[in-house]
Amino acid sequence: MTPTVLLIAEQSEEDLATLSRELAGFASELAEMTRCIPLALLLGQEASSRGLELAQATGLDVVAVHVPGMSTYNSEAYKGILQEMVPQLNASYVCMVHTSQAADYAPGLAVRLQAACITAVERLVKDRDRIMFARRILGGKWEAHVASNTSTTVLTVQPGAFRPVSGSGAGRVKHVSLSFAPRSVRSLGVRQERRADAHLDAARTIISAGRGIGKQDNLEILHQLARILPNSGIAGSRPVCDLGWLDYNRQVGLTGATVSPELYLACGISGTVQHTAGMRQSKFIVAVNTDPEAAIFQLADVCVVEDVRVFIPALVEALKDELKRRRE
Amino acid sequence: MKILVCVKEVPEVNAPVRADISSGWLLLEDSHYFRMNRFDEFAVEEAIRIKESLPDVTIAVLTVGQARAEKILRRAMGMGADRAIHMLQEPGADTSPFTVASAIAQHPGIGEYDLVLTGVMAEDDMQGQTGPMLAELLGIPCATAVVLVRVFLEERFVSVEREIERGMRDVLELSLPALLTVQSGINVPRYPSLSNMLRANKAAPQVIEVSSLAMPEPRDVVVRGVVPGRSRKGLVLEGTTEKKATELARILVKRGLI
Repeated sequence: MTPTVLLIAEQSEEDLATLSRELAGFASELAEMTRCIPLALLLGQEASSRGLELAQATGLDVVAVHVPGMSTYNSEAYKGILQEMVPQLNASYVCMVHTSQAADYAPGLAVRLQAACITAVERLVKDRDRIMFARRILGGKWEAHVASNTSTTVLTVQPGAFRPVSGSGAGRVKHVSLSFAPRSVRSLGVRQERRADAHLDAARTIISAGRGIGKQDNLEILHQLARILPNSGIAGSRPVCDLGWLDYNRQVGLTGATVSPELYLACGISGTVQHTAGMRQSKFIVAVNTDPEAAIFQLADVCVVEDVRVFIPALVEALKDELKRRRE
Repeated sequence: MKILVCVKEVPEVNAPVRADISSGWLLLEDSHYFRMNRFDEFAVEEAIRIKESLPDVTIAVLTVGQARAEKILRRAMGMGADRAIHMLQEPGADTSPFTVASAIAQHPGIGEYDLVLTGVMAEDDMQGQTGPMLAELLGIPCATAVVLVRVFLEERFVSVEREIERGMRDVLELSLPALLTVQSGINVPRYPSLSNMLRANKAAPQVIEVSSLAMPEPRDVVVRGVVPGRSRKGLVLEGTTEKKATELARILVKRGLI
């Protein structure tokens, strides 16, 4: 049996449509480099119907593993079932999108498979015959090229990093049924804790605060700017919400809102992938940070190496001057 | 009840980093730039809160790292941990998650803990793997990105909520012993107290040389570190603060954003 690049799709409907197609894009690229066959797998109580959707969305052949009673993700079940399935399917690479779910079970699965595990991969790099997986480190400032020393490698792929496959016919679906009763991890379901502030979706400009604003009181400086920029809203990075300076419903990033305003003004934000995943699609990005090497500058249209606390008041004055000149 | 908290020393985000092409790795020479991983501070704090809410809880804090990492063990004791374990590595030793988890799994007292806590990830390598790998090596259940913990010691389980996407939480129960990786924001980590710091300075950590353990071969290797390319044009504004502000104001006006 030809070695495979095995893509593990998630159960939820939202992810099936978009993320699985990105993952298929990655898996196909990797399969071509390594002369493997890309193959998709999906688990759960609705695997039979979801498997058909997945085969249509990705064009890949799908193994649909029907697990009666498994309505949500359960780490013990995933690890237990995949530990059996991965060798059966002769997978050289096992890949999933870097979601909260994959982050939860991928490292443990790798230990069971005696495999290397490389998380949040953004790029494939081929150097002579060696394949390396590029991922961000040190708050996104550097990119590490990581190689695997094992015959099986578990990979999680950063959402938004790979181009989705465009549909070209559906793959075939193979149906498998397995039962699994977790003993030490009991899933009690999911619940909605909070929703992202609806204003962020509608805002034309988002002024976003990072730890670099120094203290909560300095948010007032950003509010002053917001009062000049029409249809603008205030958001922030996770550390700012963790500190209690802003409510979590204003958080932009992997664990918060995903936004794509006309203007995203990043104020004192370092630019970790956890944050940029939520704002990289913005139409125009301006970053203000004291550190000239801050990762946020890599994706900014305009870079301002300044202290937010000094620069934003100066910007407010400059904008007022511009407005005055326009009226004259 | 015994709790183990695994902590890591990381460089400051804005520390000057130098690339060593020959070893393919990044170097930071000044130990002044190292501190406790912020995500681990939440784990230490959560352990202390459990200790404050239940009788007979002791907290051990453990790090795998170079000699200078003793500083973060003392900080954790200053926050309220009872004892410290330093699994000492030589400079330049492999620090990949599998290696670190394999070292911790060999700590002689590792089987005694009811609960093992770590931060959700390290700020430097951002892998988030050491905790889940350690759980697997110990054969205990694991939950990541935990934002709520309730311990039911007599019933031998822990009730937790994990932060997942779109503001949702995954609710589950794990049998004890269990390992949890703690998400930031679960609590507000306290500052070390003076009395605890004085106690920490008197108590030497238990030291275990990692080189004396039977360590597995690393399963992955960082071949090199590079400065990432820019994904956008990145016009860098020059001059005085006022000049930059004026230029940005003009750009925003020109783009019809005001």
